[in-house]
Amino acid sequence: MITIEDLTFWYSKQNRIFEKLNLKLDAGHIYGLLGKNGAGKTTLLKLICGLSFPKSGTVSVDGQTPSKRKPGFLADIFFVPEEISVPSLTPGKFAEIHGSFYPAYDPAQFREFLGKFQVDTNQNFSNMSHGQKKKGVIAFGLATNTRYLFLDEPTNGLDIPSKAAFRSILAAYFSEEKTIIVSTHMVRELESMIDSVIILENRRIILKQTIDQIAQKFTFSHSSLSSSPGEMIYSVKSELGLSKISLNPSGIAGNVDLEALFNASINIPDKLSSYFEY
Amino acid sequence: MNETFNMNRFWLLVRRQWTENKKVYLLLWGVISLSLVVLTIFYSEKYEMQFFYILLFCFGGCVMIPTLFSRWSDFGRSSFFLLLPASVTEKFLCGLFCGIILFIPVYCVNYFICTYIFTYLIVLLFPNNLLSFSAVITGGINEIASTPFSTYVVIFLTFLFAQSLFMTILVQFKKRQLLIFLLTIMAILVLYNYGINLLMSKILYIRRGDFRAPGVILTFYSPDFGYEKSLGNPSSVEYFSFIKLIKNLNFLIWFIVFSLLYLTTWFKLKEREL
Repeated sequence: MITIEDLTFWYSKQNRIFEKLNLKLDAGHIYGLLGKNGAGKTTLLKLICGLSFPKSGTVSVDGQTPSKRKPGFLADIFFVPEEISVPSLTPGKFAEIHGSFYPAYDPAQFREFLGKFQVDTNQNFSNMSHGQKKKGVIAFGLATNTRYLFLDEPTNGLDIPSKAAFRSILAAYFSEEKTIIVSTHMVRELESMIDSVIILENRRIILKQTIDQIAQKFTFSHSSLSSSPGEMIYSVKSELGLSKISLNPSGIAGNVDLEALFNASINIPDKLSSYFEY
Repeated sequence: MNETFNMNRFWLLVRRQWTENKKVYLLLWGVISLSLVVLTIFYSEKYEMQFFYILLFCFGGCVMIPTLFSRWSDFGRSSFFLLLPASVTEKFLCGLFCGIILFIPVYCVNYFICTYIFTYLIVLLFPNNLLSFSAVITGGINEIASTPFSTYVVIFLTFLFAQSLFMTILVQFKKRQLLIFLLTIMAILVLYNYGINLLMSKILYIRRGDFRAPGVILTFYSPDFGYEKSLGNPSSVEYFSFIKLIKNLNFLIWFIVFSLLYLTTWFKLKEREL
């Protein structure tokens, strides 16, 4: 379990990223971490991993303090940054020298993931494109089988087939004891991947709910012509017409339009959160 | 799980370090070897050469370190290094292992091979060469054995000082580390030399001469400054030199300085944020 209590963090005192932030994340979920550019998505991941230290408040992962960066803790997490930088080695050699650090690393799984991503095990990283390198590192991260996996904009730089492969690999890889946080601003790509949403805005978390809870509460519809039975709480023009969020009177879960939800969270945060009990 | 030091993890780090950076290390080995051969062939003055040998030695020891600690501006690389499941102590000791335990013997063997054996092979190309191989090797061994121990101590201390300072700067700063290192070392040398001059000439009144106290980097002082102490019997007089005292004090200061710098590196690495 990841527990964040009263977390305050800044890079410069005038511009605080988080102010008294509280968050609890349970195992067995794939969380989508959403937020505008500069909202602090990467910073939050860095704080959870132990790459940055809180100015005040605490971050704990299964009772351990990430900033201490103890080997036992580090062997249980894997962080895939947005910008990948790898040594001039083949993916096979890279995994060979790093895999031994992770007790649950599975080389067969690594080769399988690389195959699904269509990355050659014997081609040097230095001769690969950015997307290929990223797929290599994602494959390694998944094969480490750490209980916590943090992916920062994982689909940035990936081609369309690779994005589909990533979604299917992640779904197959996921298990109840694992916690995955996927940070992105490309909300549409997350829709079939995540089961919970965290939206960061203005130094705080404005929404943290499971997709099921959101779907039970709201209905999402497109086009100005379609009418929903419930009270409309938000609408925004999109390329598909008018995206609307209405209250779901039946409580039967439907599809969630993450983009509309994200826009609503940014524009009417208090109204939206008033529908959920915290 | 041992969270401070585990031999298995340490060797994994060393293996990783070698696999990722072997091209850099081989290139460094080539540059040092070539420099040693060129220096030996073109410089006849042993004293001048010694300065360059020390410079090369320190340069090599410093180049070994950035491959481990310097890529802080590269978030992908540095985050992977910091989050690699090994303790700060293991990562730090891996740096010392590569930069001291591996580098020093390799440099020494390389020095001997390049300075004596390889140079002899080149000399063989010249006609009327009267040198025998065994004479060259024996001469080399004698030269190394006859060099005063304090000279090796000075070289070693200089090396450790340069390396520990470079390490601290690499871990502390994200960018322009080499420039900061060069400026810092220049500032330290100027201040140190000024301080030593002040101590010797204004406080202890030791006159300048033709003797260079080992470890006192830039200034020459007379070795005979001291006092004679009678041991009862007029014919038995013990001579006590202040220079020896200053030399030992100097060694002690450098020892403390580089130890503190290595310790600082460890702390900085522990507290390194991205």
